[in-house]
Amino acid sequence: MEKQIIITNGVGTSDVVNGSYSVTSSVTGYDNTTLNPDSVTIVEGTDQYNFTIAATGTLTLHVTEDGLSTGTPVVGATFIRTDSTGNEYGNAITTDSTGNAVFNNVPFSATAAPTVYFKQTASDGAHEFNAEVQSTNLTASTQTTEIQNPLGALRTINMTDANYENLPVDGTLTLNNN
Amino acid sequence: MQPVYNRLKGDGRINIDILIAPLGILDNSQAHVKVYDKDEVIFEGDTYNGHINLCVKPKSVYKLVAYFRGQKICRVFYTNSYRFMFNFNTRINRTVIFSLRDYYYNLPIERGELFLWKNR
Repeated sequence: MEKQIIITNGVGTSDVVNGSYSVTSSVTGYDNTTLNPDSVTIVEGTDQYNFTIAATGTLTLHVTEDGLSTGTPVVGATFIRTDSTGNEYGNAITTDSTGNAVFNNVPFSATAAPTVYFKQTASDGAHEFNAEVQSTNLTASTQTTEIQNPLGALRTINMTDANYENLPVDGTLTLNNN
Repeated sequence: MQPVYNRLKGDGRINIDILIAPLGILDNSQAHVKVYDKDEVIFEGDTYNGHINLCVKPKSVYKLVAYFRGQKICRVFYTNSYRFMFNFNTRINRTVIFSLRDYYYNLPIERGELFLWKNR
C-alpha cells in the first residue's frame, strides 16, 4: 500500500507525489467494487480528485396513520435523503397506495452500518407529519421502517356573510398548502 | 555541444544553461535560485520552465542554491560545460484533496478510506 486517505464527510487530504496510482476503498455499507474511478493520475496543477461509490440496499418507508404495519396507509407522503444536518440529496420519493416509498441504493451492513438520514417534506394534506431529520441503520439489504402520519386534528371552519353578521353561507372553501 | 565561439562573450565569460528538475511549466511551479561566486551572489531569481541562464567565467567554481516548496538543494559546479542539470528530490509532494460521494445521491460519504497504490 502506498497511501491511505481517511475520508470524513466526503473529503480527505494527503501529501501525494505526482504519478499514476490504482485506487481501492474501504467504506462500510457500500460496495467497494463500485469505486469510480479505480485509478488516478496525480498531476501538477490539479489538487482535487473526485470519486464515487455505490450502495445496494433498499429502505422502504411505510407510512400509516398509527405507525403500525397494519395501519391505514397514507398516500402521497414525500421523503428525501439528507445528511445529518438536513441538507437534501437526490430525488424525493412518494408513498403509493400501500403507503410505501422506497429509497434504493442505500448502505447496509450487519455491523457498524452507516446511518441513513432522511426527512419527510410533505404528507397528503389531511395528515400531520414530523419534518425533522430522521435516521436509521440498515443491518440487512432490505428494511422497512414504519412512519406515523396521524390524522390532522378536527377543525371547524365557519363561513358567514360579511354584511350580515353571523349569517351562515353555504359553499366550498379550498385550502392549498403553501 | 555548442561551438565555443557562440558561447564566449567578449570578456571571456560564457553563457551556460542550468536546468532545475523536476519542475513544471507554470509560474507557480518554479524554483527560486541564488548563484554564488565565493560569497558573492551573482544571480538571484526564479527559473523559467525550470531553466536559468547565466553569464559566468569558464573553468571556475560556483555554488547554486535553489528553493522549491519547502525543499532546498545546494550544488557546487565547475564551469567546464555549457549545460547543467540539478535535481530536487523526485518525491516532490503536495497536499491533494480527495472527494468521495455516493454515486446515486451525491451524498458525501460520512466515513471511509481510500488507498492509493503507486503504479510501477
